[in-house]
Amino acid sequence: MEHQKYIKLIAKIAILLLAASFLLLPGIIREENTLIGDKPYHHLSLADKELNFSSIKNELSFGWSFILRYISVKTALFVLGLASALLLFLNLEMMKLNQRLLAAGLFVLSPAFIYMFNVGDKVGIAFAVSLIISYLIIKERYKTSIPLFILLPFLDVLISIFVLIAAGLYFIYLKTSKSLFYYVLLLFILGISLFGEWNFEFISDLGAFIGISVFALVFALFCFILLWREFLPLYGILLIMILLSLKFEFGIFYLSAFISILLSLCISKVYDRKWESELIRNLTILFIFCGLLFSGISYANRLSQEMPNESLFKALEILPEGSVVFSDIGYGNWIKYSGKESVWDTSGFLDKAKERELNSIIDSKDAFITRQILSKYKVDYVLIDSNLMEKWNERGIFYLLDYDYKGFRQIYDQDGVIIWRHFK
Amino acid sequence: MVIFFVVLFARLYFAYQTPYLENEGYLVQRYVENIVDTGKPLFYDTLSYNGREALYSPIYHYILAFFSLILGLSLTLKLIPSIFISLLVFVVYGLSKKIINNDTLALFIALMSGFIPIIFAGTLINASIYTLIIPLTFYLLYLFIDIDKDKQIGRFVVFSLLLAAVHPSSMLFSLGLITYYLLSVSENFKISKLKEELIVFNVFSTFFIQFVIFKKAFLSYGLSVIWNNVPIQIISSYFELDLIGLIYRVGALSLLFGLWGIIGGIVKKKDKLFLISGFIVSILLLLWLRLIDPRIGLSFLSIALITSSVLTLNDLLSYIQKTKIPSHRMAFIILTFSLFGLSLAVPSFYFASQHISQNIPSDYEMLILDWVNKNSLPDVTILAPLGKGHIITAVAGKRNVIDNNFLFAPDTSQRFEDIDKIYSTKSESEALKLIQKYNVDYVFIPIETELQYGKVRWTDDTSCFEGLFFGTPKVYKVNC
Repeated sequence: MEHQKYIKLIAKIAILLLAASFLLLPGIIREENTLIGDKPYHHLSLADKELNFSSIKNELSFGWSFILRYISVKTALFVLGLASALLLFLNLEMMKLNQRLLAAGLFVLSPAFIYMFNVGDKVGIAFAVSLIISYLIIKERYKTSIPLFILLPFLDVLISIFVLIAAGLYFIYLKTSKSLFYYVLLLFILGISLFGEWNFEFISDLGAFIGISVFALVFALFCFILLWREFLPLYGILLIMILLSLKFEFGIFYLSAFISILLSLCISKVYDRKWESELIRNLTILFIFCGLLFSGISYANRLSQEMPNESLFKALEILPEGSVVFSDIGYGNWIKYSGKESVWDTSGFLDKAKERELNSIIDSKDAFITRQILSKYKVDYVLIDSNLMEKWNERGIFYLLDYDYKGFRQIYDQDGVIIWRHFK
Repeated sequence: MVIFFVVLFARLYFAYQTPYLENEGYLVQRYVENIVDTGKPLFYDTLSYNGREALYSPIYHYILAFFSLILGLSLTLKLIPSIFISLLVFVVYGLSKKIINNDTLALFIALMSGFIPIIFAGTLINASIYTLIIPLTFYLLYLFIDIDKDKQIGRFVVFSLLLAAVHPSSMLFSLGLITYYLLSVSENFKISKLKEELIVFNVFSTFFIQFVIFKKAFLSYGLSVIWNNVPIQIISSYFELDLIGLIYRVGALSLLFGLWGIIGGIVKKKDKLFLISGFIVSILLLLWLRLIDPRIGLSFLSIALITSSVLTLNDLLSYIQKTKIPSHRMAFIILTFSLFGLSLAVPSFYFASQHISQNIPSDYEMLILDWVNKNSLPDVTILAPLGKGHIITAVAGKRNVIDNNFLFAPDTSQRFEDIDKIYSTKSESEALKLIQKYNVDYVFIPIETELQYGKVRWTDDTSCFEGLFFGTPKVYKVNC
C-alpha cells in the first residue's frame, strides 16, 4: 500500500516535470523577450482598463483579463499548465496508473497543450477550470462544482456552453434512459454542424497554428483498424470531437486531451499484444513516441519564433499616446497595448465593410483615395515592418509611401520597422 | 554476374557516347561538388531561382561524393548510378525465383529487367537518385515476400530505414504494403502476423522520417506537398498518358504478360503475386490521381510488371508441355523469348540514342555557357527555359530564373507563366517588364524554344539586346 502511494507520487512528479519542461521550452528558445502572439496583448490592454459594461464587445469573457491585473501572464500560464497536466491525470482514475501517466504525458507533448499554456490566451484558464469541474463531477461533489460552472462563462463563453452540454450528457447517460442520451447527442451533433464555419486546418504539422499532432491522428486511425471492436464508443466520441474541432477552435484543445487518452489505451494494448518480433514491436513504439515528441518540439520551436519582436514596441514607443496607427490587421493588439489606437477593431468582431475599405489601401496607388480613407479613420501614422514588407511585397501602398511626399513623410527606420507620418 | 555486366556495359556504352550530362544530372553534380568542397549539403542554393532554400535528403549525394573522392566526379556521376541500377538484375532474379522457382526463367527475366526502355533511357546520363531507389524498393519487396528469419527482419529494418531516409518515394513502398494488406483482407487471404507487424513498422518509420526531413515543406504546403510545388501548368499535363508511348516505354509483352500474371496470381491466390499486385495497384492509383510524376510511376510499374510476367511465362511453358505439339516446343519458346527480348531491347536502345541526341547539351551550347562563365560578372542572372535551368547554374555558374527543382522554390507557377510569356510575346515592353522583374542580365534562347515559340521578335531591338551568339542557341545581353 505504502509502496503504491510512492509510485503514484513519483508519477505525479514525473508529469509535473515533463509539463514544466514543455511550458518553459518555447520561452527558453525564444530570442525575443516578448509574449508570444497577439492574444495576450489583447487581454493585457483590457486588464489596464476599468471594467465597463456599456458595450458587449470587450466584456465578454473578461475573467482572464481581470486575473492578469494581479498575476503576470507567464506565471499564470505556468501554474495553469502544471495544474492542467495534473488534473487530467487525476481525472483518469478509472484507468491503470501507467495508462494515466501515458495519457497525461502525451497531452503535455501535444501542440495544443503547448499553445494553451505558452500563449496567453483565455482558453488556457477556461480549459483548466473545465478539468476541475469534470474532476468534481467524477468525485460526485456536485455542489462544489456549481461556483465553477458560474465562473466559467466569465472565462470563455463557448467553452462554458460546451462543458454544460457535456455535463448534461454525462448525467443523462448515468441517470436516465440510454435512448434519451442518444437523442440529445444527436441534437448536439446537429447543433455543431449548423453553427460556425468549417475550418479544415486542424493539424499543426500541416501548417495549422492551433492543431493536433499528425502522428497522434495517424496512430489513432491505425488503432481503429486494430482495436475498433474494443474501442468503438471511444471512436464515436473521437468523431464528434473532430467535428467540433472543425467548427470551433476550442474543440482542438479537448480533442487533443481526448486523443491523448485514446492513444494511451491504444499504446498499452498494442504493447501488450503478442508480437512475433520484439525488435519490430520496440522499434514501432519508439517511432510512434518519436513522432509525437517531434510534433511537440517542432511546434514549440515554431511558437518561439512567433511575433512580436521588441523592435516593434521600440518603434511604437516614439509615437505620442493615443495617436492612430495603421498597420496590418494582426498588429492591432500590439498597437493598442503600447497605448496607441489601431484602426482595426481587435476584439474579434470584424466590421466587414471597414475591413474591405482598409484593405483596399494596401493595393491602391491612388493617392487621393488612400488619403481620403486614412483621413476618414483619423490615421496619424503608418507602420510597416520587415514581415509586412514581405507580405505586402510590391503592392500599391509602398509606391505611395515612397512617392507621395505631400501625404506621407518617413519619421522612423530602425531594426526593420518603418513609420510614416500621415498628413491629413 | 554475367547478366549484371551485360546490362552495365550496355548502359555505359550509351552513357559514354557523350561527355556531358542531362539537365537533372547537373543538379546532382552541383550538390555532390558542394559536399566534396565543404563537407556539407547545399541547403541554400544561391544560383537556383536567384537564390532559394533547397529541401532534400543528401544521403545519395554523400554516397556519390564518397565515390567521387576515389574515382573523380565525372566518372562517378556516370559509373556509380549505372552500377546501382544494374544491381536490379540480382533483385529481380531473386524475386522471380521466389515466385516460380525456375532458375532459367528467373535469369531470363533478370536480363530483361536491365533493358526496360523507360528505365534504361531515363536513368542513363542524369545520375538519377532513382538508380538507387528502384533497386532498394524491389530489394525490400524481395526481403518481405517470404520473410521469417531474424536475419531477414534485421535486413528489412535497415533497408527500410535507409530507403525512407534517402527519398520520399519510400512512401510508395509503404503504400504498396498497405494496398497488399487491404487486397489480402478483401480476398480473405491470411497473411502472417510477422508481415503485419513489418507493415506497421514500415509505415510508421517511413512516415516519421519523411516528416522529420520535410517538416518545413509540410508546414508551408500542408497536404499539397504531395504535388511538390510543381507549376499547375505542368501538373495538368501529368496524366496525358499516351498508350502507344506507354507500350513502347514499358515493353509491349512485359505489359501484357505482367498484367496476365497479376490476374492469374490473384485468381490462384498466390501470396507473392498479391504483394506485387498491391504495389502495382498503388502506383496506378497514384498515377490516376496525378500524385506522382508519370515517368517515376511507370518506372516502378514496369519492374513490377516484368517480375509478375515470370508467372505467365512459366504457365505458358507448362501449358505447351501438355499440348500435342511438343515437337515445336523449342521453336515456340525461342520465338516467344525472342519477341519478349526484342520488345524491350530494341526500344531501349532506340530511346537511349534518341535521348542522348535530344536531351544532352551540344558542344556549342557548352562552349557558350563556358564563355558566359568566364566573361560575365559572378552574380548575373540568365533567363533560360525550364529544361535548361540546372545547366545554367552548373556550367555557366550563374543564377537562373527557373529550374525543375520545384520544392520550396518561389512562385513556380507564376515564373513558369512569365517565362512562357517572355519567349512567346511579340511585345518588347511586356518582355522587358518581366525581364526586369527577375533581374535578367542574359537571355538564353535554345533551339527547342525557337521551335516551340518561333523567332523571339523583341531581340531585334539591338539597342536593348546585344547579341553575343547567333547560332543554336542564341544568347543576348540585356542592356536596357
